[in-house]
Formats: sequence, C-alpha cells, structure tokens
Amino acid sequence: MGCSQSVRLRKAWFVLVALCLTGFVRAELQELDDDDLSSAQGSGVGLVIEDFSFDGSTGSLSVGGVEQKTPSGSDVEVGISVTRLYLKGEGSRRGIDDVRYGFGSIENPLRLDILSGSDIANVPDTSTVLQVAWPTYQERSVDEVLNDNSVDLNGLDGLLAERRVALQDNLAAVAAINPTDLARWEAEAAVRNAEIARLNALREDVLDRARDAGIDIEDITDGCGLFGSRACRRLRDEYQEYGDDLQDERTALSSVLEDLTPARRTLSQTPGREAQVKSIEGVIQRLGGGISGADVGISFSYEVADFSSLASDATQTGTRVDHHSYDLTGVDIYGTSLRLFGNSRAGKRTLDGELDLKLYVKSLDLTSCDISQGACLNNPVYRGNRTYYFSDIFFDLRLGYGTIQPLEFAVTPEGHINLRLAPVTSATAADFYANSPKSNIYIGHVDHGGVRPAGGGLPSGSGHQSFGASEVAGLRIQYLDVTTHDL
Amino acid sequence: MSFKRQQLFHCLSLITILATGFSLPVLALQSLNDDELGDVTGQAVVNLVTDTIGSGANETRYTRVDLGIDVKTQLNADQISLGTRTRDGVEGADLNIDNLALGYITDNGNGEIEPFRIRNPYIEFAYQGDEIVGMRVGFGEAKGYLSGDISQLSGNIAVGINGTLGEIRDALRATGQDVPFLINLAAGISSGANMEAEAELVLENGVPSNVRATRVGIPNGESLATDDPLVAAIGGLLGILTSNDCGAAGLSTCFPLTNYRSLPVGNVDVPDDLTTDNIEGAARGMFLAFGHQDVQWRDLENTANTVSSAAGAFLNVPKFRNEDGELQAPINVNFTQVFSGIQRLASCYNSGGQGTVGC
Repeated sequence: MGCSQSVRLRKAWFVLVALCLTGFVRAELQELDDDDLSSAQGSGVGLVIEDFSFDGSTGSLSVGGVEQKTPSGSDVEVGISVTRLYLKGEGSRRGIDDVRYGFGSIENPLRLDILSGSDIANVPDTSTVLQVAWPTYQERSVDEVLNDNSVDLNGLDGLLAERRVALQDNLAAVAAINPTDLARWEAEAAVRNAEIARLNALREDVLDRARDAGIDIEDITDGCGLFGSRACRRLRDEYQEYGDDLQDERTALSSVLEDLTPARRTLSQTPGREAQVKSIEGVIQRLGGGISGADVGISFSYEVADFSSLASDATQTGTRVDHHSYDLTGVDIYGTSLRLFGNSRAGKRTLDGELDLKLYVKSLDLTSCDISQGACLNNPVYRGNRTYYFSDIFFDLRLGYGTIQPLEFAVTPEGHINLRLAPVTSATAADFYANSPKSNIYIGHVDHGGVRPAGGGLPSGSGHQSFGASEVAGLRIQYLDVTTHDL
Repeated sequence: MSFKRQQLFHCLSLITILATGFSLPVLALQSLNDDELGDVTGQAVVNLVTDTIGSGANETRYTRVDLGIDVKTQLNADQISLGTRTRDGVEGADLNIDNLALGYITDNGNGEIEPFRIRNPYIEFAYQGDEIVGMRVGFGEAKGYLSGDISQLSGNIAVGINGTLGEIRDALRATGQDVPFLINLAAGISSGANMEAEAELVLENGVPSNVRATRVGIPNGESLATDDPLVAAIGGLLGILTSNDCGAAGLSTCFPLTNYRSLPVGNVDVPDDLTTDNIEGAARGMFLAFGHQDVQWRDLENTANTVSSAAGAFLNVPKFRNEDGELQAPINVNFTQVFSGIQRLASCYNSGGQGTVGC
C-alpha cells in the first residue's frame, strides 16, 4: 500500500508527500493530471494526506513517569494504560467505522515555504523565514456558503448575524463621534492630567519641606492645631491651596472624561468586533469548503489510591480506577500559519516565531466510565449521564507578532521548557495594538447527559442538561512567560 | 530513471529541503558531556493527588492533576462569558466580565507591565462512582490584579467593609437624609468607633446568591459590627444598622459588582522573595469550576474547609492571608469607597486606565 502507488511529478520543486506507515495505518497517493500540475507553483514543499486512517485498538500503549503524591508526601508511580486511540475520517462513529481521512488537496496543501524577512512585517530583513501554512478554504465567499442550505452551519450563521449587527452598531457609533470634539477632549484631558501631576508634585514638595523643617506630616495634611507654628501654618496653607487647585482640576478632568471615556470605549471596540466577525466567517468558509475533518479519539485509565483527606495523617481508604475517553469529530486546522525565524537578543542567536492558529472541532465528548464494557458500553443513557458534550468549538488564536513580540522557545539549563511572549512596551504598543490580531475562543454548546445522535448534532433525551455557550472574545496577550518545573 | 530511483530522488530532495529549511535560523546546539547528561533526570512536571469529601451516598472522590508550571502574564480580553443560556427563565450568563485583564501597567498605563503570576495550576475532577460531577481549573498559587467590569458572577467573592461611625453619619448626611438619633448620639460619643461588615454576592433584594449575582452587599439580617464597647452598649443601634432589602438606616448596603473594577488576588503588597520558588503572598484558593450539579471542593487555602460550587460555571475569588496570617477579603473598602467603588488599574498603554480602551 502507500508507496507502491505511482506518483507523477514533473516539477521537482513541488514534492507530494504521503505518510507511508505500515500496519494499521492506511494511506495512498493519487495521480495528478497535467492541469493539476500546471497550477503548481515553483517554490516550497506541499504536504497532502489522502485516504488515511489509524486505529490503535489492536495494540497496547502505556504511559509511565506520572506519579501520585500521597498526603504523607511520598510519590507512587501511576501507570496510565491507553486502551483506545484512533485518527479517522469524519463520520467514523467514535472510530468504529473505517472512514478514511484526507488533509488538504493538491491545489490547497499544507505548505512549507521559505520566505524573506523583508517581505514580512516586523521580521528582521536579513532573516529567512520558514513558514508552515495549513490549507485555507476561501474558494467560496461567506455569503455563498450562508445561502447554501446543504451546508450545516450548526447555528454559526445566527452567531455571525448577531456579531455583524454588533459591529455595524459599533461602526455607526464610531462614525457619530465628531473628530474635532474627540481631539479637543483628548487635548483637554492631557492638559488636565499634566496639571494634576504638577500639583501633586508641588504638594509632595511641600511635604518634603515640612519634613526638612522637622514638622509632622500629619500637621500639614490634617491641620497644625491651635498651637501650630507659623511655618507649619504657612506650609499647611500652601498645601491646601494646591489641594483646592487639584480638586478643581480633577473635577474638570471628570467632566471631560464623561465625554471622552464613552468615545474611547466605542473606538476601542472596533478591532475586537471585527476580529470576532472574521473568526466566525473563517469557520463558515471552512464548513462550506466541503472538507471533512478528522475524528480523533483516545481512552485511557489509571489506578490511584484513595485517601480520606489531604491531611498528612490521612488514611488510605482503597483504590479506584479513573477512566477518561475523549472523542472528537470534525477536527480541522485551517488557515493557520507558523513562522519560524532567526533573531538575536542580548548577543545570542534565538529561534523566534509567530503562530496564527485556527482550529475547528465539531464535537468533543468526555466520558468518565469504562466504554469498553458493561452499562457504559451497552446503555447509551447510562453513558450519556457520564458524558460532558462540547459542540462547535473554534480557536482563532494569535501568539507572537514579529520582533515586536516574538514567540520565543527555549530550554532552561535544568532541562525545562520555556515559552515566552516578550512584553509589549509603551514604545511598541501603538504598532501592536494597530496590527496584531486579537484572538477568539468559542464553544457553541456545553451539555451533560442525554445522547448525541449517531450522525452528529446536539445531545438530547433522558438526563440531558444544557449549559449554553462560552466565549473568550478579543483576547490579546501583552506578556507571557511559561516555564515548567519539577513538582 | 526507474521509479524506485525516482522515488528515492524525491525522498532525498524532501529530506534535503526540510533539513535546509529548518536550519535556516542560525542556531548552534551545544553538546553535553557525560557528567552533565548524568544530571538530567526525568522531569516530574505532572503529579496526581487524590482526595475524598463526604461519606456514604454523599461521598465524592477527587483526582487532581497538578502541573509544574510557572506563569507570568498580562492579558486583556474584550469579554469573557461562560454558560450563556436561559436559566430559570432568565437570559444571561453564569459569568460575564467585560474588559477583563490579568495584571496591569504601572504609572496609569505609562509604565511597565506588572504581571499576574500563577504557580502550579491544576485540573481537578470530582467523581461520584464512575460519574464526573464537576471539574475545576485552579491555581496552586496566584497573585496579581484581576480587572474587569463584572456584570454577572456565579461564584464567591468576599468584600470587607471597614470604616468609622463618623463616616456612616457623614455618608447619611451626604444623602440629604435626617441622621437617626441613635447614630448621631453614638457618633457624638465615639465618631472614630470602628464599624465593619462582610459583604457577599446578593440579589437585588439582599438575599445571598452565588448564581448570576449582579451585586455585592450585606445580606439581609446581617448587621455592621463594632469592637467599641461604648457604641456596642447603645441599645438598638446595631438593630438600626442591620441590613434589610439592601438598606440599613437609610443607607444602601448593596452595590453593583461593576463598581469594583480591579481586585487583588493574593496579598499584592508582599514583595516576592527571589530566593524562593514560591510566590510570596499568593492566594491558594482561586479556581474556575464547571459541573452539572453542586460540588464541594477542597479549599486549598485552608484544607480543613470546603467551597461549594453551583451547577454551571463558577468562579471562586478567594480570601488571602495578610501579614498576620489572617484571612482577608480581596476587596476591602471604607464607607466612601463602598459607594464609589474601586478604580480600575490600567491594562493598556496610554489608556488612562479606562477598560481595555486602545488595546
């Protein structure tokens, strides 16, 4: 199988690769006709996976190295046994059916490109950039997909309509802001802030002079009392005078901010709302691309000792086996790019990057009973009451922005992993805010209990509870430093 | 060229191109000698901890997955909403925070990033039999500022109100109301008498509720307390200062959550000791839970206690230990601040501290 298929490649620049795994992996390469080949461009490497499936049900896999920390502080090895592992095409019914998975196409493969740093914003001109670009699905416009009733959008059309209205409302509000007024408010706020800073400094100066004169600071702030010295009263009067001016300035600033703050808020909402609309449009284009995602699943179990509490003298009450099964359908990474480039910091050469990740998962089921036997295997209602269902999940996540905020990878001298997004500074903030896209994470439906229909869709039936949608919108990380360590 | 040779050629081409591509960033790997290699051991970045709460039919067993990770971050999000759905006939979300920020920027947005710190985050599963009844993501240690406009909150958040009797009298005068005789009398005797109360999440009628609360306030039937013996001896005074339907003696005792825009998680006044791995002053009880039923969780700040989460999404913003080792509410306000709220710390550069304006 696999490599025994003939492959015609007339342009050596373009290499078609298929994973040629033996055993339970099935894959094959398809021929290209001349038209397909003529559209291939002469740079980079493309990766396409076709007719692929992986099923580890006949094998055995265990994971070691994880320990349970007992209340007394000792560590006990926990063996994790992987009982099910598969990667198949969408519609495999939790990996039962041998549906083949395809990733990308000849026209739209995963590409490895070598780019010049001079062509990418905020990457050193002299750097060469290795870009891994996942397939995009923009052959059909968003509206075309929305009008195609054969595409199941799982309610995302309604979400898009809602977010488009929110964006239009915001844009209308932005248009209603008079630029002259805005500039005047900003200028006045700046003047007031500067004056407040000046008056605060003057009050601090009065307090410093009081300290130098050996006068209790509280006498200046609260009053010198009946028998206060002339110096005290003079400084006290000066302090109060600045205080009165300060109060006037604060009142004036508050008045300006009553106009300025809503205007600023309205203006600031636009990038986030645009990013939300773009994220949802991206998912809709992906769903309308006629591309199936992958079904991915894993089941594992491990035995742990039970203790009566966390107290150091807690007694062991027995053992139990925890079961976890994760079944994902319609998993697809699309429109994603990872760029890696050489950089230098503090005299050292570094490997930096930026990641623009777009991930869609049609459903994720988390089951806590042993799905290989008993009621959990044979009784869907029993299993459903031990399952959390997540549906219509997408991540549109941006990590790193050129050299303004590179995504840095490193390993510490102790062998631990360090992942870092350099802090945005006041000098780089304007560029970062204007050009680095915001991230969005969305889960359309969270449910518990009931049964998910075999062909997909939302669960329902006995014991079903809905917990609605969850979302993180307009996320921007200005600084991140993650380092692992021993526990 | 035969097919096999052609295939070999393409495979070699691929390997060459990949190797060339990945080596473009100019990097040099350093070799380790045998001694250095001998020091490298398997890294225990993941640990499991088990626990049990309750017994018999009420027994819940827990498996916590501790992650050996240190995080320093400053992030902003336009909105975080969890559990958006119709609940008990009312639309809304279990948790809705606009303009969320972790960490802040000093000097009112003109200085440097002061990150939110997390050490040893964990994921914990609660089981009854073979059924997961809830899960939570928590932080073994957390310290920093959490900012946002909290419009709906399912969870726990304590507010300590501390002030003097004189401030209460002044606050009443500021409303234009007649000050009750007993308050005037007591304030005349001891205007500096300390008065305090602990507020919590309540509904608009003052009934405590940790589900979709929009206000924080003194629950119905709870009174301001004092440690001043003279004031305490004035019969009927504390009765006047007992909260009912979000009011006491003409003063409002419930306030919108959106008033409190920046909350300290942990004791942010304690500087970090760089010689230790721990985060000094960190809170140990912060977590975000989700479940289809109410679940008791171990309070990691005080493991003798538990925290009950309601079904749905649930955020626990914990008390932390002050310098004296006493548990302190994350929000502490006097009788002026309780009305005006807490100003937001800037989380965007050049924003004047206004939400996530500008970023």
